[in-house]
Amino acid sequence: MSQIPLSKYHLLTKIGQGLYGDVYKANILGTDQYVAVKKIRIYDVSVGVPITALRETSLLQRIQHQNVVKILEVEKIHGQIRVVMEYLKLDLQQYLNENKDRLSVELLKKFMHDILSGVGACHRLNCIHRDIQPKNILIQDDGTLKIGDFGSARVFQKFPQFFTSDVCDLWYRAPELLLGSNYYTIAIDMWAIGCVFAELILKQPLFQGENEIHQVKLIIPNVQSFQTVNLNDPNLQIQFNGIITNKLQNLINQDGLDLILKLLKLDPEQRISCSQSLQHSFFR
Amino acid sequence: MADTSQIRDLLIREKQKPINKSNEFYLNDSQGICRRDILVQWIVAQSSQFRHSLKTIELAIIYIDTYLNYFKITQEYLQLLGISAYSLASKFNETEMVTQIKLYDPDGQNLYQNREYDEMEEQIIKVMGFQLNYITSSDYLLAMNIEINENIQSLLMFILLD
Repeated sequence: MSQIPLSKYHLLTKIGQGLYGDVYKANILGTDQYVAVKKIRIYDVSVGVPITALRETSLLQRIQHQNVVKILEVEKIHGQIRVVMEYLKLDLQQYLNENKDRLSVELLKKFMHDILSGVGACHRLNCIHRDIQPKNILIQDDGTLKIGDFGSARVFQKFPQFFTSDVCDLWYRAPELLLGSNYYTIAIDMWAIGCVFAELILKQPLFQGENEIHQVKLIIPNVQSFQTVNLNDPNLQIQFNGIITNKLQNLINQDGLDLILKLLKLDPEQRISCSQSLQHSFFR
Repeated sequence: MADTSQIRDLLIREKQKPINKSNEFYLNDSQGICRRDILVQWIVAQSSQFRHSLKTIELAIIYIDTYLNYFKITQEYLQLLGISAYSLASKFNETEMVTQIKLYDPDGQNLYQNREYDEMEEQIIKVMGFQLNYITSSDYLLAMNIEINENIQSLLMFILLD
């Protein structure tokens, strides 16, 4: 007698490593459809179910949006929790590595529109993603972008609220985080989106710091002391705008450059939001 | 301020919880208090030693109520349910809170085994459908720009207890 399979999914190959466990490509038994299965690592004593897994499953089930990766099911097999998500074989980082050509303005508009819509959907539900980077933006076969990996995401009630400052990949980390602030807002996601936008144009990351100090110096070159940096100093912003404009001005139209400069405001208070960005003349 | 007799009247009045009529944890005993309320009171008392936000308590109580409406548990595990729900809520909602909260008896002995904490935690999240994110009363108040002062905090606590 054949054994009844315990799981609907047959794990194929390991395709990556998430914050809380390995990710596998899997096949839905009896079909030719694929899914991504995240196995939650056996947890340490007195930690219980990892916080990252709890937040990812909780938030993804709430955020239903065409530009956010879909969670299909959470199952428990052999005492192990598995998170089943839709399978997207490409992410934006791989895409940028594989395509050496410059992206057309039309494609840039589409990509940015998808990213801003997806992240905007999180922000509307009082959720900060906190790890926006090309690796976490997935591409569907039809070219639609989807925001993934909500392991660092969290909900917030009001601002300012005390959070941990050790979030976001270094190259996409907003200046207020680099300066060690624990009271930040959804504006940190907007900075990261600005960095991704610039990267789509440059075909390489905008600021590639080797460590936190180096990263700050790339953004504010003549920084004297970290304690005295005043992010809403207009002169600092003018100087910074100069750096960005130098890097990008021949590669993108005026509207695009203007949007980047609005996303990359040093002062988080002045940074543009997702909904404002989507109204920007760049998309017209 | 309400005087003690008013508070007592509030506590023992007939409550509108028809869905819970058949659940023993929601039935009032001879003193007019049900065991679910005692558990919630205990959680609120325990939480005062952590400086956690009101939302953490609100979430924990949503988990407890959902769980009690799903499963029958014995009296001895009621405390474990309470503390695990609170652990989960604080892991989800607080910053720098990654470990489970454990209970000890007066002699410093573990009240429950480590395995039991993990199992209870898994059971709760399974009942919750792996979705711990809920909108609570304090979210609504903040959305309406109402500052949560001590009075409002006490009122919300009372509603939770009720």
